Amino acid sequence: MPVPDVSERLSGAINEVTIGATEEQGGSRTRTVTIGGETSFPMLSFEGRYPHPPAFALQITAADVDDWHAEAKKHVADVAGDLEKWAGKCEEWGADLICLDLAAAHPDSGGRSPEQCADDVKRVLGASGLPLVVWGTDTDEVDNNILPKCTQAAAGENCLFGTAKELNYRTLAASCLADSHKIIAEAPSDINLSKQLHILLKDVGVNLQDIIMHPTTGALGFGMVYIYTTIERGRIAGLSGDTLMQQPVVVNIGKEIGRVKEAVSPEEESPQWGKVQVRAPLWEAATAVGYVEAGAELLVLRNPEALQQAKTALEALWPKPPESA
Amino acid sequence: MPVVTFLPAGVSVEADPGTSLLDAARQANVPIRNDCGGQGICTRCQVEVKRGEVAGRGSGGGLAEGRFLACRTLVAESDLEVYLPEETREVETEVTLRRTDPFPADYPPPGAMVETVELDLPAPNLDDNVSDSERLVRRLRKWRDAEYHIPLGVLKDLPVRLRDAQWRADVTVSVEPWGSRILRVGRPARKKPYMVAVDIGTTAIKAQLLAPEAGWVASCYNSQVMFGPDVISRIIHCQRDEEHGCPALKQLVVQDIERLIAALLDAQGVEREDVWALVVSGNTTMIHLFLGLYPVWIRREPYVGCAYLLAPVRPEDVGVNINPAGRVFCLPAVSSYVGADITAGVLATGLGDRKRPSALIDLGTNGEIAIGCEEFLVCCSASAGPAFEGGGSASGTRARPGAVESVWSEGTLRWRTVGDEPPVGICGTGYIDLLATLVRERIMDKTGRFVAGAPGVVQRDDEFLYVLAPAEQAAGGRDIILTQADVENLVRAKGAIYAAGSVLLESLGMDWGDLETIMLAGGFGDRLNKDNAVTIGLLPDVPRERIAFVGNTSLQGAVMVAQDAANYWKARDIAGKMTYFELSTHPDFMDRFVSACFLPHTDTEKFPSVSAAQE
Ligand code: FES
Repeated sequence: MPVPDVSERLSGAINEVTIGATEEQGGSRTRTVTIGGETSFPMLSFEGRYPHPPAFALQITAADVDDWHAEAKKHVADVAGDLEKWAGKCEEWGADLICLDLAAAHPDSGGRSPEQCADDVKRVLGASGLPLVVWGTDTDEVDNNILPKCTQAAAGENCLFGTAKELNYRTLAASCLADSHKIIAEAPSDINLSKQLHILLKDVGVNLQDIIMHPTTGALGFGMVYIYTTIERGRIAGLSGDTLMQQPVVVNIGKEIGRVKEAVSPEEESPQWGKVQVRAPLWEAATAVGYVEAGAELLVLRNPEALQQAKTALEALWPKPPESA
Repeated sequence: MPVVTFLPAGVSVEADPGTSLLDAARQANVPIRNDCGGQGICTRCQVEVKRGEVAGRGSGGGLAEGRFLACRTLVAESDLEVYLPEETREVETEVTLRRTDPFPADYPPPGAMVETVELDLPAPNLDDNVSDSERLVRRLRKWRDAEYHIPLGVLKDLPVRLRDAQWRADVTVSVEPWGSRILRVGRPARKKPYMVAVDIGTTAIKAQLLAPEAGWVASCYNSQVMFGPDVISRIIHCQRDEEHGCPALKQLVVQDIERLIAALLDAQGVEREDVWALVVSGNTTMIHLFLGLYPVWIRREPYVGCAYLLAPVRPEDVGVNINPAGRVFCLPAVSSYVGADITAGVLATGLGDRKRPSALIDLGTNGEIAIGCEEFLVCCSASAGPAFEGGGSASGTRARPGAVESVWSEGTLRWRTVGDEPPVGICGTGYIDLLATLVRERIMDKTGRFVAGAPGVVQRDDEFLYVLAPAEQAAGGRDIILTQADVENLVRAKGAIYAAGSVLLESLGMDWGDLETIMLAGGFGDRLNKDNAVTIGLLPDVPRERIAFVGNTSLQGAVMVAQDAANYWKARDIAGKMTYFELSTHPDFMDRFVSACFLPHTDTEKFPSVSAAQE
């Protein structure tokens, strides 16, 4: 008896979004990264197309890294404080993109001026050929001050800027439009709110194809389940044809790991959990792989070791294109 | 206990430290404007503290020096003298009289809830010597076969009156659930018994005089508004003040009804004695409060009211001053959150007689929805609150002269008021138009947030708001505005209604498109712009001829019952037949609600005509 074909054919596909621009494309990146394009649920290799493997960005920042947990901090200790060196390192560590976190602009973390932030962007772009993600603070006023200067500083480089939120999307949308960047639309763990934000962005002229969505992020053991199901539900809607849910997903994992006691508590305190040098990166990598299984395409990490582990795991898991299968 | 004296009225009340000045005023029965129900939002409750120390956070925040929000200012240890500025005292008590088509000269028709028949009785003799009462009943049975009850008061002078009328008497009877009650026997009267139909809305009360050639509807604010804009805040008041709360609310609504009746009688030149019946409709909480029934369990799980199917009562038992032998009929409710107003609406619109399913959406109390046809009736409550009746909004008002009832754009925003009078506020239809127009003109985005810098949008105390009419043009000398909080309130209300309808339809395996007619009811204005109601997603995007605006069907239903007892039975039948659907426990409701809290809706494909117009 022949085995019946049970594979599902879905009507929708996730948008393909390219970040970065090479010299021919008007930028100065040595390569670009494309994510999305899937036509089925993650990992169901018999069902659809998976043209691009998930992409990993490593986070760098001009703010001090005192609040980073020790296992992440130890890797960046030599380069923290020197964005250019750090950016160069990211490439060596195997990152596909660099994520510049602008936390340093927050008044509580040094209050770097818009001009300084713009300069940071420029220096990172100068120091590495990787495509760039720029992540704002969590304060609307600060973002509205610094981000327009930063998009300008990166004009032509086709970066990914975030984040636009329901209550504060106009300024960033206008600057991304003016300077031709992609935009991160952040809506906390709710596909309705996420769709609403996409409509708002569309209403101010942003192309739906230029949006990456951010359902916010929780680490494994710290709210990941909520985000996981949100991504899953959004993916079902998108693959079923809802154009407002066909945006690829970014999750910002690195900064969440430090919140999980099981991941970072030192061995002296919790000997039953084993070596923290093993635990911390593994936790970050496992969170990342979990999110890929939910459907996330772009993952921002802090710990280079976690990045390598996650990539290795995914090389084995990610469906190969049919010709090589 | 500190004593609070309110000026200029000079009324004093003892209040525990920690009581808000607004609550103290309520206890003293001193009306203070509180359009947001004491949430610290509307700033209408401003007072001046002339003497004594207060606590709480009632001052500052953009208020003039010396001004306090009564709802946020607390009694401390000392006695207080609190002065109420004029605008704080201006709780609207005015009665509006509106003309309608007059009834015919022989109104009400035979078969009304109360009617008078002239009967010839055979005089008793030795062969036919049954008692006077049996004689009367025997004769009545020939006229109309029913059970008759003669109350003691009528019985007492029955022999005298029958003989005085020389066995040719007028008998006034009322229809009761178990038969008929004899209200009066006597010489033929000049007049037919008149009735008054009443709709007790959470925001406004309406009454219509049912008498020959009468053509008046009187309306006023429900004075209970001083205890909060929605049914929940009124129930909370009963709960907080167990002893006086419920009686105080009852007294307010009875007084309101008294004022309405007085205005109607005055307009028509009719005596109170001639009014023999009140037929009352309203949501479950309002009817509870009208009868003085303790409503507290309506609000607590599992949400159970005291009574839904009510027997007629004597006027003096409720405290209304009509003919003391008359009757007060309350229409039956379905559940704690689907009240007599909806039963009346179903009756008035004939929803349960239709061949194909239709929907009735009442924007009145809470956004109740009934769907059905001759084969079934289901209903639910969207818990939408009275936003579209103007409740809880900065410039909200009921539909009355001067209420902005329509808004449109001709480059700039234009509006018109009921009766073309200077604007006093915005009523429901005005809000629907205003939201739709602001979105269309991109003065507001689709979440309902104002766009900074757009024409008409100003920033006050860190908040954006839209000024529809500046104070110079307005009747009350205050700007007519739409605040961000108002918009959120309205969007939540319309989202709840749409989501409730969608969930109810889905449970029936149906869709909005399967409905023959979608009837929108409520007393929130007369000029509903259907396109605008769809543009904001209050109503689904169906062909416009399927949408019908049916007005205040609660009052219409009460009138129908009063003038034809057959409708009384029908209303009871409807209430008994209607299946109530509890949404608060429905797993999909919350999700539907969030997706509907957008203009018009998160799923834009559900509103193709709106998207097409915006492209
Ligand atoms: S602000 Fe006090 S009642 Fe509204």
